[in-house]
Amino acid sequence: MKRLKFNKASCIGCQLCSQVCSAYKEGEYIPSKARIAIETYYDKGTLMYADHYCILCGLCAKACPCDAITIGEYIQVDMDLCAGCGLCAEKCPKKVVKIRDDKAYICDTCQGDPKCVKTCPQNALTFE
Amino acid sequence: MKVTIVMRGTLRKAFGAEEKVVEVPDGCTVDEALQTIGINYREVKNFGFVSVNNMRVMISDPVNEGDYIKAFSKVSGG
Amino acid sequence: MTMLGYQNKVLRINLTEKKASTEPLRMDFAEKYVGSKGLVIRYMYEELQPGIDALGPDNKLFLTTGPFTGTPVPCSGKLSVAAKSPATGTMNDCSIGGHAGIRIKFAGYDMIIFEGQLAEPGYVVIEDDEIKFVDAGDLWGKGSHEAESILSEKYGREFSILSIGPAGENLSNMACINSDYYRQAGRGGIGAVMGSKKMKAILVKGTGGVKVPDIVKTTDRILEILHEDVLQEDNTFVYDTGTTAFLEACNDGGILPWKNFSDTTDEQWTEYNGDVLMESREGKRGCGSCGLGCGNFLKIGDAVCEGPEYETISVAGPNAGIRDPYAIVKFNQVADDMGLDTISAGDTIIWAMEMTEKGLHDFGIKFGDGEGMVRLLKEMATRTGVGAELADGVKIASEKYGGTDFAMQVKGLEYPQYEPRGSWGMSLAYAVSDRGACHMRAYAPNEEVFAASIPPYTPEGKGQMVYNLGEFNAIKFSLCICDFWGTISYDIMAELLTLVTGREWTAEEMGEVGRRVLNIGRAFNQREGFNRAHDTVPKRVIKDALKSGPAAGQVIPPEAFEDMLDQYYEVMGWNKDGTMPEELIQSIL
Repeated sequence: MKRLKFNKASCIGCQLCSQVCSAYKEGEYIPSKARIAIETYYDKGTLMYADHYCILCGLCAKACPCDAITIGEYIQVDMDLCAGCGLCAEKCPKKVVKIRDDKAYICDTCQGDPKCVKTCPQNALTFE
Repeated sequence: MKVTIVMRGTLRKAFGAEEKVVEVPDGCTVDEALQTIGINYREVKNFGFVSVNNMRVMISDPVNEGDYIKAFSKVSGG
Repeated sequence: MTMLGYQNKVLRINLTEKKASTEPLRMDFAEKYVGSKGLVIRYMYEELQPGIDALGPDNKLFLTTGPFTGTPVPCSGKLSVAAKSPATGTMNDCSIGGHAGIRIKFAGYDMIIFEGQLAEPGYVVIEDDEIKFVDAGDLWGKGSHEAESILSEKYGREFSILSIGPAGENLSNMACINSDYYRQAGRGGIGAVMGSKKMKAILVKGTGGVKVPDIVKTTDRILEILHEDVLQEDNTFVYDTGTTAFLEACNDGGILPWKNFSDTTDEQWTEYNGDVLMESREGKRGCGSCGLGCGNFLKIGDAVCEGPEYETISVAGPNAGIRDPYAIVKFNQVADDMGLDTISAGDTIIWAMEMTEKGLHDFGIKFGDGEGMVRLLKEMATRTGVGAELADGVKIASEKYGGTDFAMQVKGLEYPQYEPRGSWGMSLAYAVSDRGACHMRAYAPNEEVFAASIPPYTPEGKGQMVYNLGEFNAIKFSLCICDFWGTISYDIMAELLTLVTGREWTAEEMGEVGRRVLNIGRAFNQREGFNRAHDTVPKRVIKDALKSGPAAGQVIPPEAFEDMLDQYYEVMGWNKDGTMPEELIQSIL
């Protein structure tokens, strides 16, 4: 199973990944709804990295009481079954699951062809 | 006569980073000297300018024995 | 009328009354001026009455995005910060990187206008449509870095923060605005305008989005352009070395200034060049929507900065007779924290060095004194000691103490670090720039120095050359595109603008917008009384020949300078006295 990988040494913090993710998934440029959130920032004179992206660990599926989440080559959420309880988001170690309007929105790696990887200008994101 | 030619900026990626000592015809121009190592500046899209002994010259200026020629890629922004 | 790509909304904040309101964006202006730089100058022409005090309540501070802001159009993360300048009395639009511009757009606004003045020092917090006014308390008086750090801790890093240092609070003509710690709206005392409004900081968080007509088609094409055009050899030096690459090019090009522009070139430039500085690099950082990533975050001992950029290396290095990388980085760090523009503050200090060495006035600092530079920065920002005499820049200081011949400024804005005797067109670009000596309006060295076959030491053709460069930058910056996307063309601009707005734009129209932007800036200044008499060149450039480097022996004859001015006015359709015909002004409004 291929997974997203992030090499922070290459990241310039441009956030093009989340803009492009939201474009294809939400129909507008709206990073607050993206399924990936990678940013860099300064804290006390040090360059820091916040890397919220799906590592396909499967903890969300295990936590789901509705069996709405299945994992094959990628994650699928059955929106009819999802109750929006948020347990998946609580368990997500990368804090990348978004609960909105009582539904869970999780990265599906664009069904095995992630746009964020195609976008990343410095190849900080890879799919391998 | 012998001159040294070196690339600067992104021209290093295209033509190598090392200094090249080359034999060029007496009284040749910078343009002709570069052509001896296969660089025609007119055809290199990101070609900027040349300096001889760390001083900018026109590409049509002559070179002398022992000159140190640097070819710079374009830069933009400020 | 509304248009996609825009939020079609302006947030107007009255600081005197602590009230906020929204209104539609003037789309009639956007049709002619697109966004960012051009749009804000048109707004300033409309809203700032002639003759107002730049530091009084009638001046306004404008934060302006463009239609690309918030989209993945590469290098579109810049924000225009503008007001009438206290340093020059002209209009002044600055461009700041970081993430603030994108967050303003996501908060739902194309533009934020701050009017009036707070009664007591405070800061403004903008979270989507919620606006809060908060007392600054003991933040007032703190360095910009410390203030940002405290506010970031308190509000969280979803907020972008624009802040001023003590220099802005104390209304220095050289005060800048900082964001993301190391990015600046630097020039023309823009930080003093914010300080005059008693605004220590502006915080912005946005959770909304930007809509375009066909998002899949638009995004697909943007990604093609990103990978095929932006990320090509011509542009990627930005990642490898950033502007430190200019040092060698400017040195060999004969335009690296030495000791307050008394000469050029430094044989020992390798002691503080990019190769040396990059050894201390800890990371790379770009702005939002970037792609290239120019920022070099580096540390030398206790000196930290993102940079130093070429301008700062030059002014705190060879132009100050300094070769110590630590001193350069420390200067950069302290100037940022104090909220001082490195170019203007640096130029003023190196002028003081020359004044002292020549025995004209003792400012207690000589060339080579890195520690003294840092001490003076702190004194200038707080208007204490010798710094009090220098806090308003080199024009005002030289009018009081003499040395105007080598006070390197135009209209009260200090010279950037490109010696015009080695790039004659640059003297024209500095002279006709609408905010005083600025290198970002028309970057002449690109055409006449960093080019293999164009002669730099002649006035011939320079009017048209400076116009072409100016027109191109004017539309580029009105699209809030960064200068580092060096390969962008009018075709690409028009294609992207068409995709994002849904209105058909042509390459030809891009040039027309650029020309209009140059004219509206001039029209604003004309109303303030500016004309040919103000399009000047420092005496040093027309009196003294350079002694070293490839441009040794060069001096720009006064008649050559006047010839270039004539050429430029002719290309612009202006009168010989530098004024604009009334019908030209009416045609661009």
